[in-house]
Amino acid sequence: MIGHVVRRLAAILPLVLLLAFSTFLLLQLAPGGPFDAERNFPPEIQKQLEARFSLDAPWYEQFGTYIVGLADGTLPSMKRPGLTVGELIGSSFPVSLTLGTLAMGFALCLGITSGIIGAIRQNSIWDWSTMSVALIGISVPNFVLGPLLILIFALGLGWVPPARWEGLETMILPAVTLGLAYAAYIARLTRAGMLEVIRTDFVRTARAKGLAEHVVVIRHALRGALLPVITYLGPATARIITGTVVIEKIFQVPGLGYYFVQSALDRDYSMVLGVVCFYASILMVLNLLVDIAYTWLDPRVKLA
Amino acid sequence: MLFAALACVADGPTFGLSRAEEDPRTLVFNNATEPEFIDPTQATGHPDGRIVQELFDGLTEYGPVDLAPQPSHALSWDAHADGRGYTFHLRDDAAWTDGTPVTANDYAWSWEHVLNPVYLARYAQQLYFVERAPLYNSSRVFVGPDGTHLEAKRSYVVRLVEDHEDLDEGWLVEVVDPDADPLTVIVREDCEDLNDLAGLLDCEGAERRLELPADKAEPAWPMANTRVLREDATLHTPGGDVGLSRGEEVVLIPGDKVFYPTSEKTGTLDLSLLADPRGERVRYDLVEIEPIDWSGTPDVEDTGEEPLDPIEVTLRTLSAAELRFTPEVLGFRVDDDHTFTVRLSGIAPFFLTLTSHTTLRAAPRQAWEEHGSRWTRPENIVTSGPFTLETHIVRDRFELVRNPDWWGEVELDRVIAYSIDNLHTSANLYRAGYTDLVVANDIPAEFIPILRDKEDFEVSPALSVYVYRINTTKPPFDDVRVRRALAMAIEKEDVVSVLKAGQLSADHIVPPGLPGYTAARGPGFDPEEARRLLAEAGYPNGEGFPRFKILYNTLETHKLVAAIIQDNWAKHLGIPVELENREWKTYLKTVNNLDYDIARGGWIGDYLDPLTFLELWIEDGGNNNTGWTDPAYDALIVEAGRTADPAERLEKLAQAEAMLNEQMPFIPIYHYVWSELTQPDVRGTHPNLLDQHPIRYMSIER
Amino acid sequence: MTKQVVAGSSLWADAWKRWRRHRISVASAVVLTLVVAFCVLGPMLTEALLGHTYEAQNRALGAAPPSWVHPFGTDILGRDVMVRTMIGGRVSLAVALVATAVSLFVGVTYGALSGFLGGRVDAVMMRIVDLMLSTPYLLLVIVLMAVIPPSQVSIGGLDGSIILMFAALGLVSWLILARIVRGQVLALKEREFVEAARAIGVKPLTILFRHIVPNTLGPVIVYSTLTIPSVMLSEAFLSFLGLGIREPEASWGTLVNDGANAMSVFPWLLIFPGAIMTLTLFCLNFLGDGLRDALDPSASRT
Repeated sequence: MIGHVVRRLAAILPLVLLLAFSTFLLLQLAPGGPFDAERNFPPEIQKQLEARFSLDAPWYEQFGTYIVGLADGTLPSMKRPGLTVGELIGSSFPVSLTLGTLAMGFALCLGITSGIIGAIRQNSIWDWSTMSVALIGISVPNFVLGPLLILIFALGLGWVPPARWEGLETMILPAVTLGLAYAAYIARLTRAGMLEVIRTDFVRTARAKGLAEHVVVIRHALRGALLPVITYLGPATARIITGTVVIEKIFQVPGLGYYFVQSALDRDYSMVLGVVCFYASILMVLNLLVDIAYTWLDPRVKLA
Repeated sequence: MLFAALACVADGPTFGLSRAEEDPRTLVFNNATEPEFIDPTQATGHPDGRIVQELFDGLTEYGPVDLAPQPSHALSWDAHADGRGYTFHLRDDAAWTDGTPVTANDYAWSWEHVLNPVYLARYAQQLYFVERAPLYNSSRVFVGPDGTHLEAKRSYVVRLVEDHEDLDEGWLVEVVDPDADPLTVIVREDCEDLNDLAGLLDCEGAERRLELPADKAEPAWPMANTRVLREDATLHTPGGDVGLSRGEEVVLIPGDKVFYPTSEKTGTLDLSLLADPRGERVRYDLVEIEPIDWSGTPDVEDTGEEPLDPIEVTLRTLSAAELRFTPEVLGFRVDDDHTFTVRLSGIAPFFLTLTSHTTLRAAPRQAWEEHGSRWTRPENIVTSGPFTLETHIVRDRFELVRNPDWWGEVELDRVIAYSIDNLHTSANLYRAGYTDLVVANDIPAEFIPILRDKEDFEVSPALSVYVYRINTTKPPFDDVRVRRALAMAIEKEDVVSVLKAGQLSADHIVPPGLPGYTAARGPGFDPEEARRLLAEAGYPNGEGFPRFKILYNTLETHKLVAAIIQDNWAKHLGIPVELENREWKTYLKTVNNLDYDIARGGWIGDYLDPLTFLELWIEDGGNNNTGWTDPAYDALIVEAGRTADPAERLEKLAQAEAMLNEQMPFIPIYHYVWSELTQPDVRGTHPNLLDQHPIRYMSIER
Repeated sequence: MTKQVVAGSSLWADAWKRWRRHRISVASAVVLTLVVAFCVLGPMLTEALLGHTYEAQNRALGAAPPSWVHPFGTDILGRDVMVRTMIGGRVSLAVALVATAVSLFVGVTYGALSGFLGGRVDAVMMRIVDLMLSTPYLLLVIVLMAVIPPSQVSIGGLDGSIILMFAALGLVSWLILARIVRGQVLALKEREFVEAARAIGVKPLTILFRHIVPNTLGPVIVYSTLTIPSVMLSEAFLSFLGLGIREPEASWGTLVNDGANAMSVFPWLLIFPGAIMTLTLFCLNFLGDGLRDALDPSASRT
């Protein structure tokens, strides 16, 4: 197992480089450069700007400069040359991370609770309503939900601010919007898992022993029920990370997702490469952690 | 139902919810986007400017109502008698927040910093009215031995198309000024019979000059010996080694020597490290130019004489070490700590509006020398204005706090500027009562019909214009009749009525509102005449007119306008037109490369004078992009720059505008307006043509 | 308990019967058909009955709330929102279907060949798939969409942005499908009917595509029902970000984006396209659930 982990970790670097290179190629194809603007600069300045960022050097040199610059953290963003790519990522990633964590936390709390309620009160009005809400949560895209929530709670009722990221009150709507779809999935998984476990003998035995209902639920049934939820967490987290791109746009959260799209539009080559490499590394490490968690949880699963 | 309930929130005299409970000494607004730079020498557009102008003072400040220059760092100023310069007297109680006093040296250092191409200042053009500034910005003006000022003029190579004197047809020869007629040709002994460029450049022989009628030669090549380093390198000079960085520019001297203008050294270096970005080879010849006349200012009389004939000196006979690239050649001078004199390249009565501009404000040398490009971070920054920077979170906000040592009075203690670049979110924040104002044109167009009756909404004329550029190098657009026909077949009122925000239709480029200027009216909507012209040009009823495209960048407004114009041309001229939309970067590239038929464009004036629009169309104007030039037009502009009498000068400019209306290298469509939202309890802001609203004048009455 | 008569009852008939019992799934199918009809036939009907088209502007009217003449209201240019929702639906559904078809085509071919050829070739081909799966593909798609000007890719009358969408989204979804098909083919190729066909002398490729692949269709259909809503969502999300379908075309994603922008003053611009899109995704999800149960009852139910 250690061998596998080491192999996976070792594979990350070449994969990321490959990805960086493909992105670099894509960027070369795109017309327009980082320094085109409606108000033309004096040609000498244009020339110097391009030279400073090696835009006139052959492609292998350019690529090399970017990679080295990223590795030692000195590569400046082309759009904001006073800041390095590292600083921009460093200041915006924690924001995205907080957003993702809050969303995931919300999803788990709401999802697990609804799932339990649904399973315990199976086929009652509780069950039916929570599961319907869950289904709606899965079907409503987050970019429809977000503006809707803003419309109702921020502009209509005025309970929270409509945008920005400063203080707890601004974090509520973005986290809810991002997390709701996952809450819905988790609710369904929890309910199904619980239903399966509740029917088993071992739970019936516990009940027969006269243990209180909630003890039965929490101590015995839940543990088994949560396995599918935990296995779902892996892909869910990865998806939440990409989900932040849209949420950050809707709520103007200064996170990493914004740079993703905007730097490609701005042709800020250094930032695009930086963000792609960063995201790729994170996702690959995450995948690895998830796979490790699977083996730990379900010993039948073996890593290839 | 729900819609009515939600719409209810929009009822009420103001669009934004009241902020009566908020702190009256804190102003909160959205600055439209994250600024690119807050260093005055590097700053670019309005979002940068709004922050810079509160942190740093300039020689003058925009007057709150009419933008008239108010004393700021300069307490008073004297105009030079010939109208080509000013002497500023600085106040002695202005200081940087680190305690050092603000002096004229700060201005000299900052302006040189803007113009020195090594620092890559993108708005250097704001200083181009200062004498020699454009040349300095292109590293083409030096100080030679015994203090003579030398301009490096490009020389070109031409090929003779017929025999002339002792030169044969087919020969390549160097020419000093390719636009002159007759051409002055440089012939070097034993190098006459050369047909290859490299050979010509490397050849060394005694020189002689002779004249050649321009029609006997055709352009062969521009040559260059100014190169950019493609990586860090070491220059080996007799006085020691000099480290050079990638991107620096050096001058290649035959004999494999290199001259490094920025620190006046000459030596050898591995020539393979030099990049030749344009693949061209151009030689610079040094030509002596008249030194700046400082004598007796401010009483310098304009004698109206032409400059002296240049003495021609070539680079090779002058040791490169004797050339100095230094701000001495620039048209400003520190007379003493509190006196700063500026000479301009022409008559520019609007210069005092420019002295309030972001780019002309002084930056603190001491901070730059200590921290380099990180000097604008809150922990390093040093400011001179009413506020200083406390917090800066990228893409979130700037927080400015009052500078207690500032020489003036300000009513606010704190300014919070958000950096949200989504204008709908910005409007929503204002609506929900989180900001005090929405800056000009940060308002979505679709909201405007609802806003019209609100107390907090204001529309005012803007000094800017929306045009359709015409590619005059591409037939049939090279025919002025075609261009005029196209212009006259557009019912501009139609366009403006659709946009619904109070824009004004335009038949000439300079927007209204400039004092003393009577614009030349262009041809209005005249479909009959348009048809007649088109027929005369050879396309009766639009028959045979080639299909062409209107290019615009992706934005709903542009699409709307294009659709209407397409409609108009089909209806009135019978010409079918296609629309082509491209995203921003692609659109810019296409326009710059003259790859279009008709393209949408816009321009916002930098200062209160018609010249800001008229100077775009001179030859080599970097923002011309239509391929149109006319030496008579250029001459008129230059002449206006020599006319001291303001009324006469404006008249000459009007004549130039009339030429544009006549020739139509572009079609003016409409003049923009500024639309802004301001909470009623915010005082001290007034609508004006340049949309300058210095926060230092604002106060909040709660 | 009645015994099923096996003779004459094919795999598909069994599946059909099972599916019919799943009432919500059937209901979803019905609603979905209505939505598709709405989007495909609606514009013509609306033009006939009310005279609106999706581009006809009524600038004097501007954005108006729902009324009898404009059941979904109008947008800022006075265009009827109902017709635009229908047209947007056409684009969204078309993109989803075509992209899924692209991924089907690529995935099935790739997976089938890989499984059939087996051995080293199979190992390499699957390695490539794994490699691509481990990279954040969507990120590259975003960069791709941001960077390639749709103008370069326009073919004939079809706008470049739509073509880019077909390609970009289709290329994201084929990977897992390839894996699935390959797994199926590996299992199937050992069966007797394949051996028999080989013995007769049927050419290998024909065996592959005429005999084996059709038997993989069950899981393929199941997977496609998962892919269609996911692709539709991706398209909408890209269009929402401004990277997808562009003017003059519209899709549900762009309509929702425009609606979200103007929602504080014209909420109907968000609500109607958003509701229809949600309804469609809802139905697709349920339809998928039902089909999955019908075609593969051994899969665990949720």
